[in-house]
Amino acid sequence: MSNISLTFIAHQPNRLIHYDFFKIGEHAFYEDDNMNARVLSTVAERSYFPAIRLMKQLIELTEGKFRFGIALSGVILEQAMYHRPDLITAYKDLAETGCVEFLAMPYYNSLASVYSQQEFAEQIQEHCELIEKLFDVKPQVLINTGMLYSNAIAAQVESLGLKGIIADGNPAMLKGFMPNEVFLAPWVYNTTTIFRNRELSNDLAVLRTNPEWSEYPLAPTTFADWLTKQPGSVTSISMDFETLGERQSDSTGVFEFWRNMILAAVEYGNRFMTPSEVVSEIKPIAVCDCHHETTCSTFGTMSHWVDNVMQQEAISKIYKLEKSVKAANNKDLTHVWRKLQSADHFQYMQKENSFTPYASAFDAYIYYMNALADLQIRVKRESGEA
Amino acid sequence: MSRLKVLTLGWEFPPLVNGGLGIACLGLSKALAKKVDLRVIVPKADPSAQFDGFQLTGLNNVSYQEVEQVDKRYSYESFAMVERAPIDLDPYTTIEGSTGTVRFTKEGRLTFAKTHESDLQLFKTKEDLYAGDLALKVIQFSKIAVKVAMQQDFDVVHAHDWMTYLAGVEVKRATGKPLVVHLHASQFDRAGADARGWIYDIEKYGMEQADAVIPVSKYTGTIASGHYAIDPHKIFPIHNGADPVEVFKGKKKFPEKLVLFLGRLTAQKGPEFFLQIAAKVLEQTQDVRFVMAGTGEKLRQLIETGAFHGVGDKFHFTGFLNKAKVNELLSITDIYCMPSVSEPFGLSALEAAQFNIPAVISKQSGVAEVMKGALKADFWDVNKMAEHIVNLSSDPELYKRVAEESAEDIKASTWDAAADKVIRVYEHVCNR
Repeated sequence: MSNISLTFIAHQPNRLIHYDFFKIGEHAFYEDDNMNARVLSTVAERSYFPAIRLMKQLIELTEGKFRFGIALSGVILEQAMYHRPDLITAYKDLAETGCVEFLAMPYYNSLASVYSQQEFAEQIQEHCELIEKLFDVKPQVLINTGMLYSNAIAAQVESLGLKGIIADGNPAMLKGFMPNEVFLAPWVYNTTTIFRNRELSNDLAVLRTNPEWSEYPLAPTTFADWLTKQPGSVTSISMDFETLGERQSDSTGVFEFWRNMILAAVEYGNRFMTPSEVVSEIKPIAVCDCHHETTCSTFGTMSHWVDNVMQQEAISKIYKLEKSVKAANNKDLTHVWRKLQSADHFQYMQKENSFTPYASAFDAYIYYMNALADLQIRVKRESGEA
Repeated sequence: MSRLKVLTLGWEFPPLVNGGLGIACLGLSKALAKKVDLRVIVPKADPSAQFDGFQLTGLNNVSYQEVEQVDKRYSYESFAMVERAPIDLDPYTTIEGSTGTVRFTKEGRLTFAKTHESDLQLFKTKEDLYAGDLALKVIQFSKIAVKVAMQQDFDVVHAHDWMTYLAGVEVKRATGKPLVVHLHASQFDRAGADARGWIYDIEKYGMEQADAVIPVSKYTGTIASGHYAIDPHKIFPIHNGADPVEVFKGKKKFPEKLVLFLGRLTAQKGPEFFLQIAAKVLEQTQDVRFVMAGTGEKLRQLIETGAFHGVGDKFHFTGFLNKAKVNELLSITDIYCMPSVSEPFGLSALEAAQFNIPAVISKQSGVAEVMKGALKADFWDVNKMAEHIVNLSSDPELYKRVAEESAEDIKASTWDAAADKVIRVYEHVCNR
């Protein structure tokens, strides 16, 4: 029998319009609102609503034995407030069960933890405030953008008073790591690092629907059995919420699988714990050293955001704007600037990326840089420099 | 003296094909038509297009019967047996494809090759003139155009660029009329000094066989004499004119000065140099914004180079723009920059001047001979180019002076003036 800690992440990017040169200085709205609303609605219908229903049902069926954590980015919550308020209501219903923990995130799904400590702190605070306002709970544990993690990030999170951080348990990136245990980062004392079990998480999020996989088709009871037999103090499983119904469509039997898997896991006597429960009940067994940034991406690095010169320039230029944006002291402008910090923008500039709304990485870069140029002009005007 | 009768062989022609060559041919033809009897033969023409004073024939509108009757009437000493490899080629890129060679041999008396209906079909499809097997189109054009030409009465034949040179030589051989070839752009411009291949061969052969060569600038004339070894005595450089455009002033939506590059993004136009110039300028002032308008094989590479230089927020790519958008852009442009590596003429700099935009242009351009007031530098001298741009953007006196001088320069650049000079060349080769 094991302790199991399950967390989901839900986020939708703010895709940009085809922001060409002629819009600079004139067109102050960068986002493709229609497309963003459309995608949110589609994913909500296919994934969020049925998944929320299922989770609520499982909580009821197990009389609260099933519990989990969920991280909702500030960006997706904003989109939902504008376009699908019923989605907010659904999450509120979930919150009322008392079995769901809402996690902290950088509001804008940004890379601020690496590029601006100040921004990182402010975006987490902004996110926590929104979560508190909507769900009346105060987040205790952080899951960073793309599970971005390093010693330095853990130390920052400690200074922000958060009790825990969830990162990817990638043995290649970590020194002193053992699966299914919790750790402390070097010189960090009050913030526990929960490493997700990369293998089991990927089994569910990626391999389950792959016919080439040796375990295909995976029976829910088999997986529950694996969970039950896990060594260590706690098995942490984490993935995008969209796995349920969007990445793996209803026709793959994803909802049925999860329902039976969770029920079996409870029946086998496993205990589900929220991340906060893990942090408060399970003692870190050692210090785990993570010198370089690690993420939950395929390569475990930041390469999908920062590999090519376009990404590097875009990131450097957006963070370079921090001082003048803050000097302008205009709430709307700051908000617009922060939305352009979303890591999704940089991922679209990755040349190998096939999950993109743009024709190419080059288009993504051009629209982004044009929008950024416009923002620079607005910031300059606002701060009276022009 | 009766009016000269001129037969012009062209390739591009508006409104169907709107490349720079077509625009120049149209401009010159309209001006010439005021003073000579002119007939123009091109591969493709819009049958509904009417032109004042001259007749335009597209092979796409020629009937098979028209061509067939010539087959029986004439025979002549053919210039060539052309060996060719089917080659996909766009004359606006530097890639020539596989290396076909053209061999020119005199093989005694030959009759015309038979024209089949399918040969004519080549020009009746919707396919782009430069698409598919261009070599085949060029050769078929030569064979068919000459048959159409044989049915005309003319004193001189005038062929525009290499695609029509074979046809021109063919007509000269068949009729004994003098041949004038116009050099709008050469393979030297497109592919560099080491360019050799069948296009180069055709260009050289055409110019050798011609009675007069008209390059669009002295600069291009030196390429004809130096690079193609053409006798300088038969080279008569004549600058292009510029049709007046409707000029308007747009409202720029940002405070910075706008520096514009306009053209295909190919090595010939020097877009990399423009990028380097921009990076240099931005080291010195943030009060400038750069736009690279156009598309081409180098676009993506340029985007990445821009990002590498870290100028992406001040250096903008528009991709391809239509004429209306180009004019919108010109209406807000402060400085025009043309760093071409080799530019036979460079009409766009004149168009910019019509918008009262001062230009910074490379010395390796024909238009530099016309725009005496423009600021110039060697295309590779990015420091000098950058200095010119910084000076123009920071010195209103200089800006005003260069803009005024350019306005003066373009007054003389008319197609009527060009046509008069072309007619003098006709008279020269006709001994009139």
